[in-house]
Amino acid sequence: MTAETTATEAAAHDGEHHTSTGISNEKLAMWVFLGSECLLFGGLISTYMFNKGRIGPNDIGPNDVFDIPFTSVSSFVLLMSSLTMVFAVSSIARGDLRGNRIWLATTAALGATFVAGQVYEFTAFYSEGLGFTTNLFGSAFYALTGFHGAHVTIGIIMLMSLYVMSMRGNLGPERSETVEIIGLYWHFVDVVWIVIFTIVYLFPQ
Amino acid sequence: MTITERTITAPEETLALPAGPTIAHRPLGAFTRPQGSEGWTSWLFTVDHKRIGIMYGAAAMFFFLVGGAEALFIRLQLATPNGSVIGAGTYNGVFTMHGVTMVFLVIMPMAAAFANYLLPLQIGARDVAFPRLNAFSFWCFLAGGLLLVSSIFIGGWFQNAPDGGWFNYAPNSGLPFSPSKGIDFYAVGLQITGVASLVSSINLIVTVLNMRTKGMSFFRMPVLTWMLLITQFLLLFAIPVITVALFLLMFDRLWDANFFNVAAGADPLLWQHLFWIFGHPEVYILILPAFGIVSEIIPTFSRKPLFGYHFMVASGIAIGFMGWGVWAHHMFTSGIGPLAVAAFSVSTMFIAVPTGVKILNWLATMYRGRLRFTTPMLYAVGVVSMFTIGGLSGVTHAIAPSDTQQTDTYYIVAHFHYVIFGGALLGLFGGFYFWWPKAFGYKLSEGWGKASFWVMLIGFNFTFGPMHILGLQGMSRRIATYRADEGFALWNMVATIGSFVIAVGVAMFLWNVYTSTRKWQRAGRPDVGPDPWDARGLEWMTASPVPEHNFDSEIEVERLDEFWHRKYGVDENHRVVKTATAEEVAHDGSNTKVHLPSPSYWPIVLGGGILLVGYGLIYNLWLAAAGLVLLVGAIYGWILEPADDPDAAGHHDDHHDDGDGHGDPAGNGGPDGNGESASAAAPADTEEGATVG
Amino acid sequence: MSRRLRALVWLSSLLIIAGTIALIVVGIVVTDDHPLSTLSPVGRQGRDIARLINPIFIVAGVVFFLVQGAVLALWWRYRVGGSETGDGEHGYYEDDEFPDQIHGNDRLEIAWTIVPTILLAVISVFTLVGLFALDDVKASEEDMVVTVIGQQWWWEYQYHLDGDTTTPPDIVTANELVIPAGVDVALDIKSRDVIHSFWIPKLNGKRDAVPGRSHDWVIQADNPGRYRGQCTEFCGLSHGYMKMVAIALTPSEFAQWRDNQLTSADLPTEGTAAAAGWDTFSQQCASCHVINGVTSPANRGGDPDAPTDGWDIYGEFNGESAGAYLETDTLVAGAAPNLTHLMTRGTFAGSIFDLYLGAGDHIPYLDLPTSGVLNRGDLEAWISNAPERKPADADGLRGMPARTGLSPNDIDNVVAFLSTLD
Repeated sequence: MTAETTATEAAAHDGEHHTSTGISNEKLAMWVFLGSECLLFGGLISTYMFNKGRIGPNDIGPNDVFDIPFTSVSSFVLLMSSLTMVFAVSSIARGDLRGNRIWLATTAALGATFVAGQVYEFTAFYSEGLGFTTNLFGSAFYALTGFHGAHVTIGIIMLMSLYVMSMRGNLGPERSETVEIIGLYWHFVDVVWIVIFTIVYLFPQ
Repeated sequence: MTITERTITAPEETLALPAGPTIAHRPLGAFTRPQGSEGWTSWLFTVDHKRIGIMYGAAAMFFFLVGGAEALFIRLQLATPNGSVIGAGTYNGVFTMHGVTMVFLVIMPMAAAFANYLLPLQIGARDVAFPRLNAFSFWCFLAGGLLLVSSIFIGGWFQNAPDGGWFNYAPNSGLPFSPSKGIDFYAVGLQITGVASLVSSINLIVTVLNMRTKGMSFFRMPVLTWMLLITQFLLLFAIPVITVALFLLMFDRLWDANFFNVAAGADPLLWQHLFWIFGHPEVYILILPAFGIVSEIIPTFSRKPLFGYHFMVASGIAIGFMGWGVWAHHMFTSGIGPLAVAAFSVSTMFIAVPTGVKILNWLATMYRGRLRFTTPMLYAVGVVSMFTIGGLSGVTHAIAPSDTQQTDTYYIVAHFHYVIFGGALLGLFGGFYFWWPKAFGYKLSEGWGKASFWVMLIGFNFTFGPMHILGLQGMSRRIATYRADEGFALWNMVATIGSFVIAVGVAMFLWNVYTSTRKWQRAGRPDVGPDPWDARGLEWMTASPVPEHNFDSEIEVERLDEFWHRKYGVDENHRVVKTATAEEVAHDGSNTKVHLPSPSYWPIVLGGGILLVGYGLIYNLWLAAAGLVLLVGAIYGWILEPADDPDAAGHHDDHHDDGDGHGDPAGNGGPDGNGESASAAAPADTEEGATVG
Repeated sequence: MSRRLRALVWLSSLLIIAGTIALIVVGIVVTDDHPLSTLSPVGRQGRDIARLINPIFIVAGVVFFLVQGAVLALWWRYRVGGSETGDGEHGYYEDDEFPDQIHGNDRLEIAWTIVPTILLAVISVFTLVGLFALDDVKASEEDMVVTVIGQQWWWEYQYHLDGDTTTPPDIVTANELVIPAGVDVALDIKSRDVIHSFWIPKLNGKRDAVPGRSHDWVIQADNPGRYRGQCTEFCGLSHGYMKMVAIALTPSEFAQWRDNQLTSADLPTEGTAAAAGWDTFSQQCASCHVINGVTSPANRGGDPDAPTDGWDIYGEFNGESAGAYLETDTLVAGAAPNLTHLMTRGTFAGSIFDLYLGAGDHIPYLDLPTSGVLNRGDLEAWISNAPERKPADADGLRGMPARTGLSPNDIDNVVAFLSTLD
């Protein structure tokens, strides 16, 4: 039994040692999952591009609703959250647990600001007459940005979970990889937003 | 590497009977998390990749009988002109469910059965990377499958079954044209099975990339491992595409979105593109596992290594890549424009090259071999022969102009049945016979096996061979009946008779399972030995049935076909000589000190939550909300579950499986696939040096 | 030697059996009469396709025999006698005989990668040439264009005699596409509801009718004759019952047919059975069926591109729940066959019933209304309860609804009225 205990402890403390690639299973799984997510957003973005112009001349379209400055600001906020996420990862790697909590909370707050901006934007569009069922542009726009918003929301929930774990003393430097993995997800979601923002808002309509 | 002398002892009891109540030989004492390792509840909560594999196989076999019964209804209806066995409405439901069942609920999970059971064994691992996620994949698949099949009965016989064909083209799938709940079942059910496939693919990819035993480099992996790995990558990238399509369809039907609403300006070709970008890789998802199985069986029974291993792997990879560039050959008549047709016509033609390479390599493996025509070998050679027919007819409709005559006729039906039945299904059946002794400790009867093979093969050719003729004579697909003066009566009758011959062949297979099990039980359960076929892969290097911990100690691999090379060497005349028996080389499963992941309640609860959400989306959103509560609760329970049995000695209380690796499949209401600790599954956690010198 | 002899006998008898079966099959295939066969094209495009594919069938056949022959030969030559000794025994191979452990041969691999590649490259060159040749048939501007419109579950043909599809059609007919033999006829394939596919196998391959899209297609028949077709894209409940016929006439006969079709119908003389039938028809049928000159031109069978006709089934309910228009009493496709010259057609109800008893090819097409014996049984049954004869949606929105309230006398009268439509 002692031998076994030693072995499992060794596995717990030296997780990377036992994988063939040297990357931990969890981190590799996240990379693989993000690969799949690329195709999901690829499909949604293609659907949007395919459909955005398929509206009648008098239909409400992108030019009627988009508020580029507003969305640029919220995009910037989301982009900044990637930076704070980097700080969160580096702080826990250094063993700075308090700093880690601060950066996790900041990242979550920035993400929440972005989602709040999206909610505001949706409400504004809806009041201007663009509903999910109004036309093809509406359906495609809300589906794409809504899916992205859902991803950000899930990311916020994960960051908050980390925060709670850290408060309870369950998130020490030995778990820095957990933060790193969620950071991967967070960066991915941000990068996807850059693509969506460019294609949906900035491309000539 | 010297192997210490070891006495061969059959396990006292045997592991993993398909329906047997006894699970014995639990190496590590009691487990909490779910308690108990016996009885049916232990199957519900298992996280053992082997049991999950067996459950995949059993579920797929159940769905195979459902799909087969549907096929017989189709054939009865078409046996004579103006058939009136079932009405047109029921017929549409029957053929749709036949296709959906066979593709998503039979071939894919059967391949998943082999992937789950064999992948960790073939790479010398203890288990998959995420055992609980693996269990969740199965329950999620089962939830989706049961939801789909329940549509046959809910609200009347085939009243609410999907009726738009497996390809479910828009706008016929829209509410005005398909007002029953059928398409909702299709959209929701396939999303659920999609989540299962996606989670499973991530899990298995990580397993193969990360959990190979010492020395198991990529080019020492068996071809089956390679083909399954490629399949998982295809799933990884194809599933999200169909998920998008299904979401759009669901939004249209449930919440009045406009994605396929032609009046709002939608182009129905969007569905076709999304569906076939998924759908064509899907074809290779169906066939590549069978290719892998054949590549294991033929060398074993030719007593030769696989001819051109590297080319076999490379052609599999080539198929995996090229499979993404041919989807629009399903749309040659859809009006995609001559340039697109030309491009896809050419790309489709060249995908025949890597497939042809595989066929020729199998033949070259047999060349100058010592061929033993056991049942698995019969099936494998059957695949080589039958798949070739499907491949050749495939080339004839890569010729786009001729495809305008052939597409949507019975010629296509013949083509893909030669590929999917003659290729995938025969290969999977061969795999059943080949690995049955490994999984259950006894062989299926060779006599019944061979008889059922020939009956199935003959029935298969009588059913689908004539469909080539029917198609070229102009019989369309998916028609509920045909006029007497169209001249289709003769071959349809032949096909119908053939389909019942297949049914007899399948019944013989089931009878074989039954009698072989009985015989083995009556004979006092003799041990078949670790290596009943004189095979080559690592999975044969442990006891049969495989003990729960797979291998007693880590295996160090030095070359391809490591196990075979430990049994055989060459003498000074370069002749092969036996250097050790399989029993000497293989592990006997006696190591009881291996630390294994504990069973878990949460995978099946999570699957149940998803099932409720599924029905809720179709019938009542309150039900979906209830399912969502269950689902979130299950995720919570999953995260907070102790990584280990508190009663077991040496557990570490800081399980590092909370919060990390949130593999939420596409944010589509699926579970937060919390990566769980795989430390328990890592190969090194045995008592070091316990048995191997 | 004797082993080799046995092999020879074994193989050759196998070949003889296989050859005999193949001959019988080919014999049946070739001699049997198949009105939808792709193997005996009688139109230019169909022939071009056959010319492209037939050599490839032969190549595929050769490869087929090579591979299957190789499988059988390897089986015979290298099989090891004796079978499984029993379940559960160890050491399947007890012999010490091992074949050479060949791992592969790179040159061979490269050869059998390159040779099929070259073969397929050659085939694809022919394919591309054939493909673009088939696509490159543009009828001249002023030639006739027929707009082919699929809907659940019949076909409408709108003839634009001057080739201008932007103007209302000159002739609207259903299910039987009448064309002049010997010339390319340009088709413009559309759909009013779901995707269908237009296919006359003896003349050309198929082309999908996709709602919201317009697909050019061309057919040509060498000789006058009757060529059957079948909708080949699954289009819902009655997909199997959605058939059509192409009728090729000599140019002069076609002109005669065309001139007749250009005429409008007249109301029947008062007091006749036909007039009584018209009364019933106008109440029961005219809300969907158009008869030029008799029913209102504000019909549902207009040009599918017109914003207020045809597809306006969607427009009417635009913005409302898709479920809403299921509750309204309208056909989903919004159109029923134009019946102005019903009696000139040989079939009805999506070409699943013959309009004349045993007519077939025995009576010249143009003489059908005068010489044919009306198939009263099917016609009357169809009028009184169509869903019973051809599956339709129970709520009546897809396919012709039942008119079971009509008495036998009413139906006789309606048939009498329809009989005037020639």
